Amino acid sequence: MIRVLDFLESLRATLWPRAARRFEAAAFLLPALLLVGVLVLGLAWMADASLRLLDTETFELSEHWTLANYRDLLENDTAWIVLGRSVLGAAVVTAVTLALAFPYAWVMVRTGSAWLRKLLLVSLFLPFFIGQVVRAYGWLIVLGKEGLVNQLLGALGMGPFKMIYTYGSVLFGLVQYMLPFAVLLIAPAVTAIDEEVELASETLGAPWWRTFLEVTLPLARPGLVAAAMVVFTLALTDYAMPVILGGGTNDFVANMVYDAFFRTSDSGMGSAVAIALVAAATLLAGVLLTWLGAGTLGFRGEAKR
Amino acid sequence: MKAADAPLPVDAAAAMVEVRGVGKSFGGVPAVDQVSFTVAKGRFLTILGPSGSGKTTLLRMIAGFIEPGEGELFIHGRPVSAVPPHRRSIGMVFQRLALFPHLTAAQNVAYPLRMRGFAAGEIPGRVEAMLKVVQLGGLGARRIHELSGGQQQRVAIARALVYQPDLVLLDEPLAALDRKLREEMQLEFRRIQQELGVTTINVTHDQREALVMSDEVLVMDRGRVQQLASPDAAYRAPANVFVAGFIGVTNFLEAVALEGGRVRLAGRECGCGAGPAPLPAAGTVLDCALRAEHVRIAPAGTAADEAPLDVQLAGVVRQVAFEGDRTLYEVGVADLGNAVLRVIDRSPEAHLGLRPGAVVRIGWRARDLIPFPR
Ligand SMILES: Nc1ncnc2c1ncn2[C@@H]1O[C@H](COP(=O)(O)OP(=O)(O)OP(=O)(O)O)[C@@H](O)[C@H]1O
Ligand SMILES: [Mg+2]
Repeated sequence: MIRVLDFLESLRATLWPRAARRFEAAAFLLPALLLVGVLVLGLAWMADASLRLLDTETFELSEHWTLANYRDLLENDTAWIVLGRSVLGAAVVTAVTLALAFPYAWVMVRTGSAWLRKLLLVSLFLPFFIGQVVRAYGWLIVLGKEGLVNQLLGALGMGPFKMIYTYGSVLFGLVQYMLPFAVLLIAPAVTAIDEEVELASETLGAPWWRTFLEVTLPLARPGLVAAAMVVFTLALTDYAMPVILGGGTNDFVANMVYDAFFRTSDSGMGSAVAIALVAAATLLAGVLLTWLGAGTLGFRGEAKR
Repeated sequence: MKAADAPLPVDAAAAMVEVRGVGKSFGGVPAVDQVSFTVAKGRFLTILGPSGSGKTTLLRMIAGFIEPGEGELFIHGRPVSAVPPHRRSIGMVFQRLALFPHLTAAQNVAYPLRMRGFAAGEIPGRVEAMLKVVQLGGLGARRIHELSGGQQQRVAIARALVYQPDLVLLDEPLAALDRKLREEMQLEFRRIQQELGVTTINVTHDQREALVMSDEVLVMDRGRVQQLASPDAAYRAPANVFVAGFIGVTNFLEAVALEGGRVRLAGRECGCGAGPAPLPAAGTVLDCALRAEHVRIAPAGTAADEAPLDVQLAGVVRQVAFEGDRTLYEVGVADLGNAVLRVIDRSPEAHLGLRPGAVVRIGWRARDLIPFPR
């Protein structure tokens, strides 16, 4: 037995010399690097396609490069409206989601009742099993013209109200979809806060709401920043909610990309919109990170004592 | 609520803190049971007890984090059960310090001043002065994680004292430090406490800390007060077997009460000291406490000790533990029914060394044998 191990060890030493050891950690990054590589390739392809104009006769992309797609896009009022709607929507969804997720995460972490904690965890994960599309259709049933809510209101002699196919319903659906992500990102940050620090703040003269603002919130910042990044980018680039709950009246950028690719078969224009979306999302995420400070993601562990 | 009617030992008008018949149960099991005491202004009281004796629970009731199940608390003569923690004039130093990691040392110290509505203009001056008191002048701009353990301790103390609270509570803040630093900080805190004259309640399970730092020691066990006394009295005149055993290294010997203030110990008659109660009727079984440092030890056959010993017996050394400034022996004594006595020797001859197996003479003075009726 020992012999075999010795042999394996010497084999390893020949095949994987000591000098290669320091690359071991890097080797674990390989799959991730591959994935990113594929993504970059796809982006490069799209960048290339976005620079070619569709020939409406042959439905082929032009041989030469041109900025025509981008020029059209800049002059297209609808495109600007869709972009504005997406960014504004993502911002509102992020703000509302964080405002709802933080108390949820806080109670889930801090409650003394194991029963309540389990209930909150289960209700958090349950929607995950259902999936975004099914959930969106669920809201159609609940909020539709003949939906549950309108039936109830009707029984009370009110309504019917138009609740779906509006901007509000898209944002509502997005918030509901993002909430679990946000809670799961914030909860560890709240767990990392020593409860005694909050008690200390109280003995030092702070009522609960000042403790919350001055201690809990700043200490939970890494989780909040992470949640904000994830929710904002997911909402900005979302496709399903605007389609299903917006019903074509409240398109986001991703819907425009889809339409260009699969309705008008203009992969050049579709690519241009997609590249513009990537650029906008990267820019906004960059601004958000600089503003909040990348260090606040907690990678440097400075909150530890 | 019977204890509420009991007479109080200290003038209530001078009491900064009064705890009257306070109790708290968790799931039907009492964690703190009928505790009453007062702390006069400017005094330093230490609550001493083994793990799980209810010290933290008691402290948290005083701080306002836990509501007492029964009884009432008074701070500055006012009942405080309806007062939330942030409205009580209390500074607390937590076991894990609970400093704000996102703030600098100075911002930590400034925090209570901001929360308590001090004028913005006077805050920096007060912070600066307080940091000087705890000898952290010039380190105010450091983040908490840039300070050493001892320096963090000082920040926590400064933060709890800076707004001159009526009362400071310490929940074993020194327990995590290494021994040398802990002993330094004990003296340091005592210096600051006396300098500022702030009333303090400290919690610890370290008897040495309790004796070193306090004006008064409150010994607790299983939620009940065992004794409230000066460190000196808690050490010299323990109120019961628990206190006698908890403070110091103590031997317990079974004895029977005789007439005339004497006892019978393993068949021989001898004198004894004063216990907390007069000696009971002859024939009653007693537990006698005998502190290890009150037992003298000498090699067999050497000249008699200079101090007149009332009881002298032969014994055999079983174990020797050299502790630097003292040596702890375990000695088997045939005349005490083969009981093993722990003996602490601080005399220089200790270093000559008695090995296990050595035949020795041990002895003690009658007044050091403290009888407790069973
Ligand atoms: N929140 C709680 N729920 C249930 N039981 C509790 C709670 N807090 C304390 N207890 C129990 O009350 C008793 C006293 O606990 P407490 O923390 O006051 O002890 P302590 O003297 O501070 O001990 P230590 O020196 O270990 O800190 C223990 O038996 C403990 O298990
Ligand atoms: Mg405790």
